[in-house]
Amino acid sequence: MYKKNELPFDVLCDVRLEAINAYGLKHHEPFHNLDVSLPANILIDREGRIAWMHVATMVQDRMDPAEVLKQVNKLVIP
Amino acid sequence: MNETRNRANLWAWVGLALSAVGGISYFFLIGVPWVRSTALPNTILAVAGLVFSVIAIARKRTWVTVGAGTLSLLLSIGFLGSVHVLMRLPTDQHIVAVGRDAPDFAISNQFGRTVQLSSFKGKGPVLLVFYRGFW
Repeated sequence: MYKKNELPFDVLCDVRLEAINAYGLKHHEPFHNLDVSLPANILIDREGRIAWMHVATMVQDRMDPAEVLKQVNKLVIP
Repeated sequence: MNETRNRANLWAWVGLALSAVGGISYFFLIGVPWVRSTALPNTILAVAGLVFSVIAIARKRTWVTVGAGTLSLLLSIGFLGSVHVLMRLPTDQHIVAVGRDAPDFAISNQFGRTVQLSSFKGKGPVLLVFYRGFW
């Protein structure tokens, strides 16, 4: 899939729940009995600090890309 | 007598219609962000459907009011329970917060290369998208 679409970003597969646990996003999904992540967007500045974050409160909630880009632009555009 | 029965039946049909439209339309409007997160118009319709159905049954118990009313109650409660209870995620688990240091990690990317978050320090901002791939 990545060869066809040439994604300009890294796709990481967090099977050991390393990042998920480090950020406190583990959710034990009751219907499938699986440990997955809460849907979240976390923006980190160049000093390694969290500049902005959004964690979904409903399973179907995903951030509007325009809103995410607005936050990213705050860090990128001087 | 007929008048009362017909009026009660009408309340029941309207109640069923409101519940059905309220519940089903949510899945067609799910692409609209504010509808998806709040389900406000759908909640209003589903509650209205509930109210109409209860009024219908209270006015007169007929096959229509009880039948349509029960179906309407099931649809409304099913929808409201799904969106406002079952689909809710826990909100009390936060290890990180804005302003704190982002925890480091090292995970393989799609090419098998290990990506260390701290390697981006000084180079530029990083956006982490925790992509939950299903409901």
